[in-house]
Amino acid sequence: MNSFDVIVIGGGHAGIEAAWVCARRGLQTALISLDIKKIGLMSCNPAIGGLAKGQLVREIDALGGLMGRIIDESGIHFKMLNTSKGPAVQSPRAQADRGYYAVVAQKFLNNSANLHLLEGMVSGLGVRNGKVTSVLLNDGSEIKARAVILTAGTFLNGIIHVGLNHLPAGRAGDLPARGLSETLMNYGFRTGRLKTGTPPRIHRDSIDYSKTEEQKPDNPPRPFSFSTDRINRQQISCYITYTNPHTHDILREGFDESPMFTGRIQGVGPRYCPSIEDKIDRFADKSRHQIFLEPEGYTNPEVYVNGFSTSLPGPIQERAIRTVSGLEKCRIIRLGYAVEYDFFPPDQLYATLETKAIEHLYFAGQVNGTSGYEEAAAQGFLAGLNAALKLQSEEPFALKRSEAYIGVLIDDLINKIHEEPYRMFTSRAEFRLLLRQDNADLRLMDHGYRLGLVDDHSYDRLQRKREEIKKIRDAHLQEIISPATFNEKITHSAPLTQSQPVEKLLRRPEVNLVDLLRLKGAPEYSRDAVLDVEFSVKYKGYLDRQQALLEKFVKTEGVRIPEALDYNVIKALSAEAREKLNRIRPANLGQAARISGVSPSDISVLMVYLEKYRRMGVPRETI
Amino acid sequence: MYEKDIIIAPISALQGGSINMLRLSGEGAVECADAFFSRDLINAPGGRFYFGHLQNKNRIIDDVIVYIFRAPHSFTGEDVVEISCHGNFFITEEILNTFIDAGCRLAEPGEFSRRAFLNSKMDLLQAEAVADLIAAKNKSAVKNSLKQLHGGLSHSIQSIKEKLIHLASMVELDIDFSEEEIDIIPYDEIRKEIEVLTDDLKRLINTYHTGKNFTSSSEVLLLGKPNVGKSSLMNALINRERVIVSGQPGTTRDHIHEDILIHDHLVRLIDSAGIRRKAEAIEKAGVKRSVQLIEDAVLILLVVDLSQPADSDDSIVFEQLKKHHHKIRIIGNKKDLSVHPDMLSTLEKYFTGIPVIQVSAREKENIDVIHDTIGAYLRTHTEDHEHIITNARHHRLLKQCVTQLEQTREAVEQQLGPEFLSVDFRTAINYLAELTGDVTTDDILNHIFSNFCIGK
Ligand SMILES: Cc1cc2nc3c(=O)[nH]c(=O)nc-3n(C[C@H](O)[C@H](O)[C@H](O)COP(=O)(O)OP(=O)(O)OC[C@H]3O[C@@H](n4cnc5c(N)ncnc54)[C@H](O)[C@@H]3O)c2cc1C
Ligand SMILES: Nc1nc2c(ncn2[C@@H]2O[C@H](COP(=O)(O)OP(=O)(O)OP(=O)(O)O)[C@@H](O)[C@H]2O)c(=O)[nH]1
Ligand SMILES: [Mg+2]
Repeated sequence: MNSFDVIVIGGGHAGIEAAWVCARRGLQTALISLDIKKIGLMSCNPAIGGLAKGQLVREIDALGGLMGRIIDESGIHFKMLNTSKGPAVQSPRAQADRGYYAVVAQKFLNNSANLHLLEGMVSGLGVRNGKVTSVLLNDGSEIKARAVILTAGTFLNGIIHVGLNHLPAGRAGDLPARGLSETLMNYGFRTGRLKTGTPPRIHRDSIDYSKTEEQKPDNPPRPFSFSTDRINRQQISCYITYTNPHTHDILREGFDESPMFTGRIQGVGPRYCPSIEDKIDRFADKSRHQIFLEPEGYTNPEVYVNGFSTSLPGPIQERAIRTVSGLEKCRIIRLGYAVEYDFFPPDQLYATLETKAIEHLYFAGQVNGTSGYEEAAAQGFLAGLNAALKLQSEEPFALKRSEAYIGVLIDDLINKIHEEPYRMFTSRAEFRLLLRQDNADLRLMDHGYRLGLVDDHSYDRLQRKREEIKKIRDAHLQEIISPATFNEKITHSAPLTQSQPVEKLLRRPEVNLVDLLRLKGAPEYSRDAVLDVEFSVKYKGYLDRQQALLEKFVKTEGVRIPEALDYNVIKALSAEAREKLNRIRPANLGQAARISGVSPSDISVLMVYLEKYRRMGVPRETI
Repeated sequence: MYEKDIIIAPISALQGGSINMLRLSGEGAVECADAFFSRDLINAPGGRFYFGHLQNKNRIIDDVIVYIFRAPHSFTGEDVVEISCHGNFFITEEILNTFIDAGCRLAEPGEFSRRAFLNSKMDLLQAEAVADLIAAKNKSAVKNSLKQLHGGLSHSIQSIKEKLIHLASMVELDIDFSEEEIDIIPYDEIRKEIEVLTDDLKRLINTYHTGKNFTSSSEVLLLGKPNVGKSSLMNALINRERVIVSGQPGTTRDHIHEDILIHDHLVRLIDSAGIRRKAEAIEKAGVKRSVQLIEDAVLILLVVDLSQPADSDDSIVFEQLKKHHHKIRIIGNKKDLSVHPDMLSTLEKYFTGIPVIQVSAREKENIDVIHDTIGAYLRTHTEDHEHIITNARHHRLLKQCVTQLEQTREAVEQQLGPEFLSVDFRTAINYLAELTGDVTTDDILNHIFSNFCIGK
């Protein structure tokens, strides 16, 4: 075949979701990747989820994406993080069997109707009348497409560095992608350069585990996907150890051969994900740094040395790592390295992730300056979905900041200036209390179902959860508990002197709903349903505040700005606002207000003009 | 399509000594005004005015005239109440604060006109004019706000804000980086920090209440060589023996200030050390400071001794002031003695066209002329209207911040999780950020990235 509805360039975590959605929407889809055996390969840390990222995976799953299902089938160490804190900030995380993760991903794609996996290197795009029409491969062939989604990860003009040695590569063992950045720059795209790094991998049999702390997985493991019932696979442990001043001394010896410190690396790295040399340089007073030893699989002997990301010369890496407690005799299988790559500042995209310059062309994942599998997957999903919807002449799909972390991600990407790779943190979400990992289904699954991406099994389950929640609210919250019952069974709370309803007792921080339901002899409800009700009662004050904020937010979000508005004619806008608004072209007033450089005064002025145009009845295209 | 909440702001610039007018606009504006007015307004027909007084918790604020407009027959097209009160800075402010405490919002610059336009009370041709007005008013409001926050005050607020950002970061660290090896701040310490910051903020609010420091008055500087009678004039102007006066040149060694109301302008009157060539060490320090005062002053009252010819010390002063021509008024003191023609001609040479106001501090002659001169100058050279707004806005934000911190303290005592404290801290920080006018969206993450070793 040499013609498809959609072509996805890249088989990373963004590409997988993008291709999956398009195929599910019934479009003939091709995923082109450099090496199809490496589709779904985790370039770096063999783990999915984590704080804030876990929420993203749950959201992707609720919408009908793949990531949660793949990790549920390939995870070897599941752990819910932040369990000592409230449900709003708990996040699931799992170590994957790295090799098996890719196998599972490929299985899903191979079994999907309408989806074709092709091997090759895309080096150019065909564009006609401002619309993308085909992709060009470096063997000279051309494949036609009605939409193209670029998810090339760290491969665009990638260069990897170990010490002062460097070679062109997308990641260790892979070729870089050449030509594509240049093609796009010719179409007017701006590019930038970023950097990221990865630690050495060591052989698991060369570690003295007795000198490390064991970190056990949760038992039983809790799945990511709302469609997974339970995970029965055997679970294995991770281990914790520390660097020491001796380690730091050796690392320092290598500083004058560091590609970072000598200025060889031009790309900007993430401050939240520093290399070990960065850590000891910037925080010289810290005498040790934590290291997580993470197995890469059941049979794969590689252990990922999390916390020891480095691009120092090999001999230094080796000497330094061997000063770490438990790693004295360790054997390095693969050295750590840094990679530099091109990205496209994402203010060149609409909220659908379609590029402003070329119609039907979408960017997702690391090429947008983000970092992380989950961030990539979320964008891939959204780009794929919107590409499909547009071809199918349906309304675009967007999520608000108040609805999902995915909404926060996209909104931040397209409206803010990014000086370092972007990663999700829960603190980026102003509606954090509403965006819990356990309610991703309640928030998003209706969308997924409506769009035909979620199956009946999962959706039925959601309906049952909703019924349970309603039942608990209606049947139990007003039930009265007498002092006698309460005082006998619940001894860790101040004794009751008079009867009180469940709802009121629940406001006591130390009292939980499960116990109260038990006191009333209520039937067993699912844990998530109970949790949902409990949270909404216990923290009503805070939730009401978030709700109030939300209503204000939604209001400005609802005021649409015509796409073709010419900001240059609005003299009362500040020069900076005019420039930014013209460039970013916000879809609504709320988005406009979040653009850095646009002041409340500019928004006020904009309101007047929007009203003017509304009254003039000017058609959207001609303003 | 847009908001309908009740907004309030003074709408008349403050004309010397007469009347100030405030406008409330929005759904429920009449009911809101009714709660503080001595007569029933709820059933009062629109398009009329009503005499009465405004009172808050049984305390009378002022006798006022209230004019009611019912929607859509008003400037903005909404329910509108206009209140005319006595033209006094403090009264106007108290009325504003009363309504803000009752839930009204201070109008954004140009918001009445914006609403009028959005409610179709103006025709399309006026869109551009309204937009220009919004932009211009915002510019002057920002300028005003910065002016008010100059020096020490903005510094204190900035430092409180930074401490809050630090606390918020500690709380966020505990959430987003809980896997890292980082010492988490104990709740007890957070509580103590909050208490200290709350006290600091309350102190700022109190200075605001006394109308000093915070309401950044316009600085009016008395300047001249020694012994011309600057201190005597200061005492005469404030009608009180505030400053030591003596026949010894160099009596005033450092500047002394006093805040007074002149024609409804809050004025900070500053008496400075006399400027002369051969000064002693301490006096020199005072003179040096005078140079800075000259830069900062809104208005400079150049004081000369009319009974003497201009000498070389006078010339030093005149030279120094030449480039400040635009903000100088000349006071010729000691007119009770005699008037030396040489002084007048030298002044005319240096300050062509600026009249010399002849007074006597000793005999208290023509002191009211100085008052009028100051009042007239400030009326044309400051924007008091915006002043009151910025003041009320600052006051409200500081108070909201305190209330929020008190809630936060309770949350800490109840041992609520960091995700809740974070909501509290962010709200508090936002109030201060609104005050200082800077953007904080990513401040907390930035603070974390640059101060803590996080990330694997
Ligand atoms: C060395 C390294 C260190 C990293 N460190 C971290 C980290 O510390 N923390 C973190 O969160 N994330 C890290 N990552 C990032 C993480 O791997 C990515 O964020 C994530 O994989 C991005 O997903 P993606 O789908 O955008 O791209 P990728 O997973 O990189 O996938 C890109 C895909 O595109 C294909 N491709 C590229 N160009 C072409 C072309 N021209 N034609 C055809 N196919 C093409 C490739 O074959 C590949 O399948 C690191 C990545 C690397 C390489
Ligand atoms: N006759 C007469 N004497 C005055 C008048 N005003 C001030 N004096 C006298 O002038 C002398 C100096 O007055 P001050 O007010 O101390 O003068 P100053 O300008 O503050 O002097 P320094 O503080 O030394 O710079 C005192 O003896 C006053 O009594 C006036 O209007 N008429
Ligand atoms: Mg004096």
